[in-house]
Amino acid sequence: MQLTSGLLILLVSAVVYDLSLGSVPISWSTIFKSLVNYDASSSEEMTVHIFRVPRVFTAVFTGVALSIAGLLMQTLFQNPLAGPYVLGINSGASLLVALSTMTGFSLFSSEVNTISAALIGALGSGLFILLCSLYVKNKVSLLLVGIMFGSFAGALVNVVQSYSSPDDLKLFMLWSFGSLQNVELAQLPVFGGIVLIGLVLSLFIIKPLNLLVLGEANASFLGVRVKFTRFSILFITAILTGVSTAYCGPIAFVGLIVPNIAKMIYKTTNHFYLLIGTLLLGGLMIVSCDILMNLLQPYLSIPLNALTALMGAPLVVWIIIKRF
Amino acid sequence: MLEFQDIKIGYKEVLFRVPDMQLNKGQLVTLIGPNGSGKTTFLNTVLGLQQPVSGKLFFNGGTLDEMTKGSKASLLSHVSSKFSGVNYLSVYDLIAMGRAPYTNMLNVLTAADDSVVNRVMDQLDLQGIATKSTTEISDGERQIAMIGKALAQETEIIILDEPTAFLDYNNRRKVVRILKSIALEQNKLIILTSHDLELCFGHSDKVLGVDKNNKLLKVFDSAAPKEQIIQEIFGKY
Repeated sequence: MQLTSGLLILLVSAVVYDLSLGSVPISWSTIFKSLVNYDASSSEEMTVHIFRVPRVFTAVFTGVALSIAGLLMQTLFQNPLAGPYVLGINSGASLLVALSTMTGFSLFSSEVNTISAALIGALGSGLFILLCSLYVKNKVSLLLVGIMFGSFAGALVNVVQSYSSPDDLKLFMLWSFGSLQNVELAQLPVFGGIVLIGLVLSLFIIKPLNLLVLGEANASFLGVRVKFTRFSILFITAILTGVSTAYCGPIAFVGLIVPNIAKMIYKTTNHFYLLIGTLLLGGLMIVSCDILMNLLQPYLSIPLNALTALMGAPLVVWIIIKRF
Repeated sequence: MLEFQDIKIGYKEVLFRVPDMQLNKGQLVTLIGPNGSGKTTFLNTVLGLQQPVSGKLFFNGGTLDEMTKGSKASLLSHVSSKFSGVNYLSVYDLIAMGRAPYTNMLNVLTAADDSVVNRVMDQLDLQGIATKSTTEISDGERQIAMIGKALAQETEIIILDEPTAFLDYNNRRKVVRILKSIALEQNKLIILTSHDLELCFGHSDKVLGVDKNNKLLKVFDSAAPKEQIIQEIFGKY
């Protein structure tokens, strides 16, 4: 309880501090005023509304989404090194984004923007994995199908890249860097709403999740409907990973590390606490990354996806050395 | 309470035939047989993970197909031969998992559940390691904790697949004694497979042996001479 409230306070203060950061300095009073009593004629208050609020909340939402998805994958596969991307959902998104940015790809005879392309790709690959889960008996086979699907989509992206112009290639590279700045204020409720749906659905499967740490066979003897639970986990992971990849591009390592940190500090396998801890730490993690990027901005500019990997890879090595 | 009718065990191909018989509460039943004779297949059939090739199995007069997942979970519990522990899962929490078929959606233990878990831990003498992680205790303690989980599930039948396979002599004796006393005092039907013949002959009320050559399950009572059982099941060497 103390731990949870501590994390909550930390997250809220990180969010507030992050709102004060940006390319132009804006006073605390202006930020506060723009939040409670918005005046569209003030350019400073407009900056807060158009750039900062979307950026900071996107950071929270994407952190929560990826971390919860990672926790579910780790429990399903009984493996602390599983993450939201092991099933290739991000690769499906990458493929569609590659097609939309680097070829004349269009759907229903209209241009597809990056976010819709990523969303279609993510949901398509999520659906593919869900269908596979109905036919594949063994969850390790499912993992392999996911990894193979990821490599296959990755190879197709390479093919598309080899035929594209330098400008298009750059556009795609920028997407793959990951960014918190592509979301507009009006899109926030959609993003937040989908993350909330994922969270609420996770609450419904807390009991099966708690029992799955003993493996599917043992869980089944304790009354868990294994196939249904597996399907629910995949569904939740697909929508959370899908929406996050659509709005922010791929973000490495967060979904892998955050659940591990949550397990370490909560020291439990009860998913009620793990979900809360993962949710708070996930938001905190990406908001901290955003704070770091903003503070470093005058000196060097690191893409989000690179920053999380730079911090994440050493952490994963540490987890491996400590545990195995 | 557990009644076999014309059962043939196997997967597509018949491994062995089970004579019509009834296993009752309060009994410790040991299943023996050479490797590959179908002991695990037999257990899986009782657990409902696999259908028999032919015949019917009745639990208190009903079949497993008629039961919901929840009522199965309060009828049958299972202990596997090896559990390597889970990080941050304490012994108390492991045993409390046995209460899962009875808890609400959030898996919150009621005071009644809590007292069941504590009673089980008293019986198995696990109170001293209640808060320890299941990765930090010995193999013997872990196996006894898994038995505790099955006990907390309060099922009429407990099925154990080679529960003593990875234990040293003392822990094997301890586990078999515990199982024997549970069957007697708590009036449960306990079915286990084992290669530990000496230990099991001493404590079992019934020994079931798979006769691989005649594709038949033979039933011996506790008075049957060991030499005869061994010869009929494992043959001469």
